[in-house]
Formats: sequence, structure tokens, C-alpha cells
Amino acid sequence: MGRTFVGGFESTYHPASGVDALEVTGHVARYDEDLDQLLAAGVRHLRYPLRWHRVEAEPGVYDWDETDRVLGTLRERGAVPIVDLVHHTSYPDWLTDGFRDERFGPAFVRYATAVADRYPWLAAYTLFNEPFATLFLSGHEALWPPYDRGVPGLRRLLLSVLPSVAEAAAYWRTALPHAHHVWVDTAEHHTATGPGVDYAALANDRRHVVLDLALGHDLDLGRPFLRELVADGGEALLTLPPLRVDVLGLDYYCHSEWFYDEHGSHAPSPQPVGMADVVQQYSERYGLPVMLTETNLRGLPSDRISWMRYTLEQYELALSRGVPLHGYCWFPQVDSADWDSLLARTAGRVDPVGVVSLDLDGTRRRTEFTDAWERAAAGTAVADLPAVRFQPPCDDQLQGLLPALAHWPWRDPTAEQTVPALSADLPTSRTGSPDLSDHDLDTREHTMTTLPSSAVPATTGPTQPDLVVLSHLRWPWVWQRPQHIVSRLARQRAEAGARTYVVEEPVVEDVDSPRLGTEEVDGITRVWLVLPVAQSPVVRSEAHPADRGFEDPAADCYGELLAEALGDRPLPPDVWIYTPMAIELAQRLEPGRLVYDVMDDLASFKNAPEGLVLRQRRLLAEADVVFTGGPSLDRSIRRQRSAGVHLFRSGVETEHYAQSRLLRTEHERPVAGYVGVVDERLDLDLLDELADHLPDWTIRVVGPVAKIDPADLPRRPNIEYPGMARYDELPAVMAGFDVALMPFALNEATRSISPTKTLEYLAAGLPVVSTAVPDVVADYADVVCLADDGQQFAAACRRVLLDDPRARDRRARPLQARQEWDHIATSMAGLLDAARSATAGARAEETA
Amino acid sequence: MTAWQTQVRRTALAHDLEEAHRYAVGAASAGLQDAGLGPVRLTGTAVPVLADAAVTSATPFVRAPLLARLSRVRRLHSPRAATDPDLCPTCRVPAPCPTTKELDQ
Repeated sequence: MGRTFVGGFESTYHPASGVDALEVTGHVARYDEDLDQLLAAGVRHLRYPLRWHRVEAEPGVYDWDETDRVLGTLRERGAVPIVDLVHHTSYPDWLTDGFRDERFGPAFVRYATAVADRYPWLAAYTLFNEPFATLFLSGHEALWPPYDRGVPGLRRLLLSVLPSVAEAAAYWRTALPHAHHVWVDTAEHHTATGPGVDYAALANDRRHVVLDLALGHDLDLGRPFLRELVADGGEALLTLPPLRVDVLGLDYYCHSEWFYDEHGSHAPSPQPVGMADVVQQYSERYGLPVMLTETNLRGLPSDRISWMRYTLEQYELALSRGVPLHGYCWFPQVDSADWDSLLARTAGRVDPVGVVSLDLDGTRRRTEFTDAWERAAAGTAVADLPAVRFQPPCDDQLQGLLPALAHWPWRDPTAEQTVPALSADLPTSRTGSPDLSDHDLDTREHTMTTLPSSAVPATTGPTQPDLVVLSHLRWPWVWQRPQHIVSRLARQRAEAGARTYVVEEPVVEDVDSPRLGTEEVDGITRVWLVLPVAQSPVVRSEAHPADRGFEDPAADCYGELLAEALGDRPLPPDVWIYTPMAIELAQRLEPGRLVYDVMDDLASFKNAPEGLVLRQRRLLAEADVVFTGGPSLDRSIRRQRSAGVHLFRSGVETEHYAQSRLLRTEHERPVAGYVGVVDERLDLDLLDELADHLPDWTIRVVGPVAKIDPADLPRRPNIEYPGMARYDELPAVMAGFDVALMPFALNEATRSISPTKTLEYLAAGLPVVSTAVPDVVADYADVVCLADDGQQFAAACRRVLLDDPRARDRRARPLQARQEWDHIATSMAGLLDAARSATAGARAEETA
Repeated sequence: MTAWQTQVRRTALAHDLEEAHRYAVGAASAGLQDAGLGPVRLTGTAVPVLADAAVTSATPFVRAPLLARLSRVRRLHSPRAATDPDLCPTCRVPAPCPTTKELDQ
């Protein structure tokens, strides 16, 4: 009992090619080396294959030389082999129809009997590896020879194989009464919603059928799959002589759990019950001691470390529940090969699953996973094993596990552990299906292929112009659309040897003459004009008395100072504008390309500056490219300009907010929270009413107050205003919420907003309650609960607490994938490059 | 060539399947770079590697319907030991019948 480590080697024979995995992975040639590594780690037990296809290459003629040598060596060195007589399709070539061959049964019994007679000292054996999985793939799915299909196919193979396994088992029990029969098969679990429920029930019955038939266990014809099998002509399977199983070996992988819904089947399941539950189910069903006979993860070494930590943690959890677990086998010891084609091709393609990795020339290569496995085998506590965040694609495949791993001390992969993945993202329609229509490109959002660059700073001249961003939002303020996009564009520019400036509105200070203030931050250079107070005495905002606008007459010198600061560059800068009030400043910089990113309908905002509408018209006429931040805004802008307008909804940095899920802690009262700017766009009456209807809740409003008088904010004992939180603090802030709020007023200022926070809340795992802002209704009605007033908000808050978070995550995932900031920024950069090419072409035509 | 590669059985079927695989990888490479994909077409030296990986992992599922039919054909032409062990039950000629020979090439 306890955490005994067991080793194993992949050995499946490919009948079509005549080669088995022990050859392809080099184990036959490097047998001693592999065994040394295993034994040096203190591992004595190992699942070890006998190669029937070589032992009996001709019918009835046995060649034991290799088997004698290998088993003899294992025995001499103190290893305890659990011999594996037939691993998947590892039968001799002369059984031309494989498991369906009429000669299979008698041949298998002869062979199994001969092994028992020759090696009576064996302590443990597996007569037929994964009988359900093997015969299902060979007989039901037509993926392995003899490529039979459906229930009739499976029934044929079961009738051909199971009686001979029962007969062989009876012989072994007599000949080796003290040896343990380890029955090894997959440990599956199936769950479903909606139309998938019946299929999940069938699959949950099917997974047990082979062992039940072998044991004579629970052969109730009311069972859905068993009934089907028997009705198809499998009656004889009900009367097999029950065999003895001493240990039930369970093979559990992330894809052992399936989920079915209206979209089809999903493995790994987004809602796994976890290994401990599955192992416990099997153990309780059969009342047998169990062993984890296989687990691995197809992933980078750091991914495998975390999967090992997970499975060991689950192993110990099962033990703590009284499950009699007797061994843990990471399978295989050395990378296997060709499972990417499910063994359809013998191509020597390495599978990254082993304790030890395999180079193309067969060299064994230790990795950090080898080290971690050896530490675990030596008894290191699970809690002391690394918890490295999964990398693609494992991160996505294993998302369903993360809530159960919230207590882990997660850390990001180091630079050495990180292997960047290419990203090629399709434009998706609202239903999430690929949208490759080529008409009216300007009316769709765009994404494009992202390829990694060398990230080597240019040592020659820049290949991209500098980027100058003119923004009415100060960079250190709330981290929102400009910061997300510009910080990413800045990285791209830096790789091309170009610089990025974010130019903010002027401020007044106690200085003698105008000058520029600068700060290097987040990969960009902040720039702002400092004016003498005397030159600009009129206060624009009581809340921010030092702030001035781009349009301030005293700021006429801004362009000159800025142009001088930028210096002479080989390429005219790209100028990117967030407020039309900066158009004059932009023109002074003589931009190579002019971009207007319309993130808000600024003209409808409180205290909108005079002249904004006219400047916007000019800007829309002159910009080379226009981006819009939401569907309503897009429609509004297109009424003034139709060409070169591209819709890019608000994005989300999913991974950043997903951290929130791991930070969640218990708190005394439910919390409904809001994160963002607190201004005239919030419905303060609704907030007040909500607090009144939820006296047992806390309403937490996190963010800076802007453009409204703080005295106007509703005040109640259960409303909190903790102020602004930094972007890096937001996951922790949201971890303190139970429900996320979007209590926007439905007014002129919100007519065109497309709140970024919708997806951020969802990425943090929170249910969202919102007023019926048009873009929220249009884009997020499936994932957001809509309510109109404080009373409805209160009822919705109580209701969404009961929602299934996994179902919500599933609905949100396509939206998040479409709206990752990385994709948005890259797509925007691509459109800007295209605009530059077009401009250059036009200029060439003009000069021709 | 490594040791295991020298052991691979060079049957006509294996040759045909490998040749089909090469054609499929070539076609998949072209498909991944196709101008019809517009902004999501791939370029670069990794394209054939990606195409090979995609074709390889798709192979068993693409072949399954055809192999299942061939499997049924084999059953129809396999002698039954209990009745006529040397006779094709479908062609009624001595086994192996021409159909089985074709399958075994």
C-alpha cells in the first residue's frame, strides 16, 4: 500500500509494417541503459512486454532466446516485472486477420500456457493489455486491424478473444497460484448535458462491459450497451467462466474523461470529475485493489511535471478515501513513437510523453521532468513538486482541472521552459464558426496570422517608423484599450528598431516656460507638455485642476517641442489618435500614416470639449485607417465614412484575469462588485437601489471617480468605494467578488459603449449582471444577465450565484478567443501596414 | 537509416500508403499557403512540418471508413474452419480467392 512507483515501456507491434515500438524507440538496443535509469531511481516494479510476434514468428515454433535473456536480467537485478503478454496489436503476423482470425484464440492459449510453464517464478502478469480499449479501436472504430466496426464488429472480436483470455487466466491461476493477475484497462468517465446525456450513459456502461463479462459481474440486460451487445448475437459472452483478477490496473489520461453536449464530444472534458473520483468508482464497483498502470501527458517537460503533480495528488486523495491503490506508473519511461497517427504509420515520430525524452537518433535525453520524476520516485512530497502553469495546448485542454488546483503555488514557466507557439487565428462570426467570406471586408473584424519574430533589436536602421500616440487618457490611469493596444504595438516597433511615444494632454505647473515632461514606462515613452500656470490660468476640471486640453491656446508650442524631441528619423512617424482634439498636433508631426482609433463616442460624454465634433469630421476624412471599438460606434462612424473603417471590439487578456480564479477566498458576505471609471455613465440611482435590495451583500465599486462630484455617489453601510486599483491588482480585486456589475445608465454617453470589462469579468470566472447597453445586448446576451433597475439587479445577483460556471465559461470561450488583445493589436498593425503599402503605391503612381 | 527502418516490411500496400501520405502532405502544404485563405494563409519553412503533423494525425480517421469496408470484404471471403476450411464462402473457389489475394498484396 502506498506510493510505489512502477515503470513501463511502450511496445506495441505494427502488424502492417512488421516493426514494434521497442525497436522504434531504441529500447531493444539500449535495454541496459533504460533499465539502469529505472533501477537507479529506486524503481523495482515495471510493466514489461513479451514480444509474442517474435517468440512465435511461425505457428507453434517458439523462440525464447531474447525473452530468456531479458527476463533473466530483470530477475538478476532485483526487478519485479509485471509481464505483458499482448500489448494492443502485438500478435504474430501469421494471424492475418488479427483478433478476428479463427486461429487467434487457440494460438493465444497455447502461447500463454507456454509462458506460464517457462517462467513459473513470475510474480505478476497482464494477459492482455487494455482489452476494452484495444478491441474497441480494432472492432468498433476501425482504427486498428482488423478494422471491424460498430457493435457487430466489437462483438465479433470479443467472442474471438475473451474466451481464450478466460482459459489462459484459469491456467495461470493453477500454474502460478501466487502470482498476481493485473487486469489493465482504460479508466474512463463520461458526462453530458442536453442531447449528449443518453450517449454518456451508453459510454459509461460500455467502459465496464469487457471486465464485467470476464468476471461475470453485473450482467444485467437492462444495461444499455450490454443489452445491445447481447441482442447483436453476443449471448455466449454472458456465460464465460469467470476469471480471477488480483489487481485492477487503471490507465488514466486527461482524455479519459469525455463530455458531450449539443456541439458534440469533447475530450479532455471541460468538466472532469478528476482522477481520484474515477479511480474510486472503479475500485468500489469491483471491490478490488487497484493500481495506476498508465498515465502521461503529451506536453512539454514542464507540463508533464504539473500533470505528475496532479495525478500524484489525486492518487493520495484516493488513498485518503480508503481506495486500495498499490502503484503509480508514469507510462512510458522513454518517449514512445507514432501515437500521433494512432500507430497507423510506423514513421518514428517521437511522442513527447516519457520520463526520459528521445532524440531523433535514439539518444536518451534527460529533462527537468526526468529530475522531478526521480525526486517523486524517491519520496518527495507532492506539495514540494513544481507547479508550473501549463503551456499551449495543454493549458486549454486542462482548463477544466484548474478550479480543483486553485490551492497550488502556481508559477509561470521560466524562459528556458517556455516554447512559444505559433498562433493563426480565424476571423469568427458571432456563432463562433469560421468566417472566410471575402465580401465587404471592412464591415468585419479582422484577425490575421501571428508569427513570432526574432525580437532581436535592430542594429541597422529601423524597418518601421516611430509610433506617436496622442491620447486624452493618461497612461498610468485605468489600464484600458489604449494601453492594451499600444503596449503591444510598442513591442512590435521595438523589434523593428522603432520607438513608441504616448503623448498626453498638457498640465500646468510652477515653471517659467513650456517644456516637455517624459517618463520611460511599460516599453513606451510618456510625453506631456508642462505649461506655466500664468500662460493657462483657466481650470478645465475641478477634480484635476492642473490638467489642460490639447486645444488650449497656450499649447500651440506642443507640436514644435514634440517634433524637436522626436528628432530626424529616416521614416515619417505613424500617428495614432484617440481624441480628435489632437488633430492639429498630429498634422504638425507630418505623419506617414494617420490612424484614428475611435474607442468612445467622446462627443456625447459629459463636459465634451467644444469643437470635438468638427475635428472628428476632419479626422475621419483625413485618417488613413479608422478603427472602431464596438458595433454601435462602428455604425455611427460609418454614417460619416465607409472606406477603411475596421471594427475591433474591446478585447481581453484572458490569462491575466484567469489568475483571479486561483485567488478566490471565502468571505463572510456575498460581494457584488464593479471595476472601472466611476463617471456619468454609471446609473447611481440603480446602485443605490441595488444596495437597498441587497442589505446582506456588500456592493464594492472599485475605480477612480471622474467628471462627477463624489458627493453625488450613493452612500450606504453596504457600499464601498476603495478607489482605483492598478491593472496588475485587478485579478485579486475580482477574486473578492461573487458577482460582477455593469450598472451603466442608458443615456447618450452609453449609447455606443462596448465595455471592455465584460470579457474581463468573464475571464475572471464571474457571473455578470448588466443593464441593457446596446452592444452588451448584441454581443454578450448569452453570457451576461440583463436587468433594468436595482430591484431586478438584486434578484439577478442572487440568481446568477447558482449558475453553472463551467457552462458560462464554455459560452464565453469563443468570444474570448476572438477578442484576445494580442490578436487585435497584430491585426491592427497588419491593416496599418497595408495602408502604408497602398499609400506608397499611390505616391509612386503620382510621381511616375 | 536507423535499425528499425531496415526492418520495415516493404509491401506494395505500405509503399502505396506512404506515397499517398507524401502526396497528402504536399497538398496540405499547398492548402495551408493557399491565397484563398487570405489573412490566415501560412508561409515559411514550418509549413511542410505542420502539414505532415496534421496529415499524420488525421490518417487513421480518414482511412477508417475505407478500411472498415475492406475488413467486411475480407470477412466475406475468409473460409470458415467449422464448415469448409479451404473454400472461400463467397466465391466458392479454393481459398485464398482472388479477392483475398488482392487484399493481401
